[in-house]
Amino acid sequence: MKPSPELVLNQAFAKIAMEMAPALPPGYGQGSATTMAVLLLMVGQEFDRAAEVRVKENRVMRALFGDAAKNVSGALGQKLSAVTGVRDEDLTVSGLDRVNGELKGLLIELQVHAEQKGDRALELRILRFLSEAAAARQVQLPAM
Amino acid sequence: MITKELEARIVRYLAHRMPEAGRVSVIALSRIHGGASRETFRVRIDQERGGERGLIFRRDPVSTLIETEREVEFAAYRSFMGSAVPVPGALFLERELEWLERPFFVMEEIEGCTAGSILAADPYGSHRRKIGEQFFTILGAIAKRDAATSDLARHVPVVKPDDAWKVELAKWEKVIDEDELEPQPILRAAIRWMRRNPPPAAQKISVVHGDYRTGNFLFDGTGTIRAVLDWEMAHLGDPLEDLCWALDPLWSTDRAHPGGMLAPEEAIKVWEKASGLKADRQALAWWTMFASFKGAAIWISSAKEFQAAKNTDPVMAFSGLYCLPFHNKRLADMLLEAREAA
Repeated sequence: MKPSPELVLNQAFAKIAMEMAPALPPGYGQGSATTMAVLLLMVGQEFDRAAEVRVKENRVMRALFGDAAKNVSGALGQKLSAVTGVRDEDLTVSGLDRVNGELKGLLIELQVHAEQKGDRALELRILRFLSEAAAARQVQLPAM
Repeated sequence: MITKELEARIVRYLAHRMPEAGRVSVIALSRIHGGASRETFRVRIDQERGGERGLIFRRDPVSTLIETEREVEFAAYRSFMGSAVPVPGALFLERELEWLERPFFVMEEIEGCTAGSILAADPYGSHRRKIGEQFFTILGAIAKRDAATSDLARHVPVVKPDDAWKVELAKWEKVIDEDELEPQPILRAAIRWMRRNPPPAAQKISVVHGDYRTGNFLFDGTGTIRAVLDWEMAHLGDPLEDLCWALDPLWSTDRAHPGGMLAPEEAIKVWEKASGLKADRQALAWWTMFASFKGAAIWISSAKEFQAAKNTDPVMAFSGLYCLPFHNKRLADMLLEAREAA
């Protein structure tokens, strides 16, 4: 898709933030226009990376579940095993989001289990994943 | 949208509420950006007796960023009128729908001032230090005030020093339970950590502003803070809650100077001197995590409102897209650091 969506959104941001919003009278309209411009900038950042971020998170969580399943019995162990080795088939962002939500729900269960068992290594592995995943989802904004 | 009808309604209301002013006309009416929890209008009026006057109308929105009672905010303003904490005069509280279709309250306008932006690289310029010292001194004065005798105390639950953290944690956990659109492993881990590692009891129960930060106060051209605004989340609780919220790095792009003002250690010293309280390090650590947690809960709530098209103010979307990932990252790092240290 050319021009690329990111470029289109960046240019829309610049047009609205630098030209259109300043031409409006100060107040709610001007402030909202500027905020909307910033939203376009953020969506532009997200567009290019959204699928990759979700596919990567899902892959890392499934690998983590596969390793943990070896030491977890019962219903939780079965749930962990059930998602191990699965691959994302619906690669739309909404489809990836749905699976990502399911996996994060399971991650919460596993983290509670690790805390209750005092499995420090598993706790740390989960927390490192969460920190890295959170970093990948941050949005960078220019100072305005 | 501002309409002639809204202007006419305001004129009718003022004629009813301020008969001593005689005939009142609206010279200018505009909506103010920000404050997504309420619709805020600046109204310039001309009074037959009294001349020109600036008023601020804060009207309940159809949907709100934070589910708050307007009575609480109004009472918070009244708690500090005439004190060392600068606030605009809180004039009228209206619960009846006949005037503006939704409840609202009216305040005096603080003229010739501006608010800082959390996206500004240097929101206060050469006044950074002067404003920072006032900012944390005023926060100390809020903490110092006798909460039990405040107007606010009649509108919010009383809390014991041992329970302040529990009450706040439960309050915001409930918001996440009700409003999360997807599972939140970082926030759930933070809740469990904060329950396992409680802070010391509050030194005293104070009035807590609840959203004390850059963007929520007005300053003039000389770098003097003229008004602390946006008291809609005011409650009684541990004064360290406000201090740590004010020090959260989200409030400025200059992460080393929260809110674009003082470095944290210096800010804490100013606050301790003004409040007469001590900022216990263990308690600070807990309330620091809580600040990011509470922020995340608010952003989740606002994202849900936008997603459901209940409130399409772009600020609501911004909260979900920018602020939530920011606080998620910060919380994840704090949790990781705490576990590595244990």
